[in-house]
Amino acid sequence: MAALIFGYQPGHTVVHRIDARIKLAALALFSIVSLQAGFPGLGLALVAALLLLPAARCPPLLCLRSLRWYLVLLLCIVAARAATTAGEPLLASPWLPASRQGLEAGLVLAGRLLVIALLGLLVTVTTRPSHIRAAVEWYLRPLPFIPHQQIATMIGLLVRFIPVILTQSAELHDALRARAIDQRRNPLRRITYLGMPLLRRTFVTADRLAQAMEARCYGMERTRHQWRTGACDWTALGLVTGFCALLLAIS
Amino acid sequence: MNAQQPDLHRLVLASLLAALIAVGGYIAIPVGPVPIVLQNLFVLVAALLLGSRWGAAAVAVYLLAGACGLPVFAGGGGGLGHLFGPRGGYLFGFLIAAWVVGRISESFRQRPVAEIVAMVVGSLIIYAVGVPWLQMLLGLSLGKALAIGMYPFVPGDLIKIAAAYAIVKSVRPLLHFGRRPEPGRSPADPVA
Repeated sequence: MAALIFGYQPGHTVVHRIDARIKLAALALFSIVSLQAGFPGLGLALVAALLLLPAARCPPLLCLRSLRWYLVLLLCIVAARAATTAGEPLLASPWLPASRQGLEAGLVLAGRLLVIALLGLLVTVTTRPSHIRAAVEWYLRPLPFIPHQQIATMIGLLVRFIPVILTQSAELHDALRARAIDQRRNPLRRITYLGMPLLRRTFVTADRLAQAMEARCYGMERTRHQWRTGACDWTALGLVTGFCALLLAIS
Repeated sequence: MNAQQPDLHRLVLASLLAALIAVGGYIAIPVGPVPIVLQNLFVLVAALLLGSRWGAAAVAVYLLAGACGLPVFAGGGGGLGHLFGPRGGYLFGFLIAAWVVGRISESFRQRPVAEIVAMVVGSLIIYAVGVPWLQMLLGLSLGKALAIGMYPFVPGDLIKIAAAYAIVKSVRPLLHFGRRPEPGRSPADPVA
């Protein structure tokens, strides 16, 4: 558990410094463009994602390990697609019903999801939750009839709570190991001993946080975040747009 | 609650539950294209603890964060591709289920039997949206879609309903939002 990274990691790389609004926009833009991308485009995007991760001091192998369940899931999607899509058979054996078209469709689908997951991880790891909150607020502000401040606060808290839950779960896991409870045969006991204190603890943490916010008069009329957009940010935006255009062009 | 001062306790708790829904998806045990996750457990907990409005808000914020591309969906995925992918139906099902479960639980004043019935109804709603969606996007027959999209999860869901009930019973007394509005602090009163 402790090896998972789903939270902000402080750093001073270029990726860390880019405006959070641009990072979010790039992620959303890319997730739309990737719906159109084919094999060559996705391969290029995957290479780009794997190059960006070390640039942000975020080891690609650790990222892939954090996403290991996702990878297995993607394999299942590929298998399901290959087995269910009609087309010319891949193997002569009747026991493995796999068609080439199905395999290709499955790989494209899985590649799409994998690239987005890697880039999403990159954004979460390199952006402060408060900046994500401010960026969401900035995007929602022009929309009418939407409590944009509340939604932005909730997204910021959501992004912040995920690493808190994972850390507390790792701590509890260690505490249980120290008391040899992980040796218990009954899996229900093990899960209850881990799950119940974990949930009670996180709920109490959240409750205290709410009380603390209330005590400090946290209202929805917040001072707006001061955005500083420099040449670096515009270059990044230009690069991302160019890359997306390239993807659309080659697919 | 008015526009200036929202219910902070519920807001923070809804964010926590959205985070728990995300974490519940990280430990996804794949059994075919649809994995076993703890997400629907926390959807049910959110609906029972927060009620229809904030329960649905928790799920909506979770979906919005995922749609932006943040890695919150099952196994750490994200993005519009996932939201409108084969398992997207379950995600939209969560939203409806959270609202309905909260609504039933509220209208029966959190009576134990009503809560359990509400959770059963909620689980059925998730499948009622998720399975046809899966069937459509993967191009399966209804029987096959049920076989990979519903039947493997029914025993797990019964355990999850029991677990959700235990969690709600254990957590409810810890929370403070039941004490609002306090005398002299009700939102109707103009505060100087």
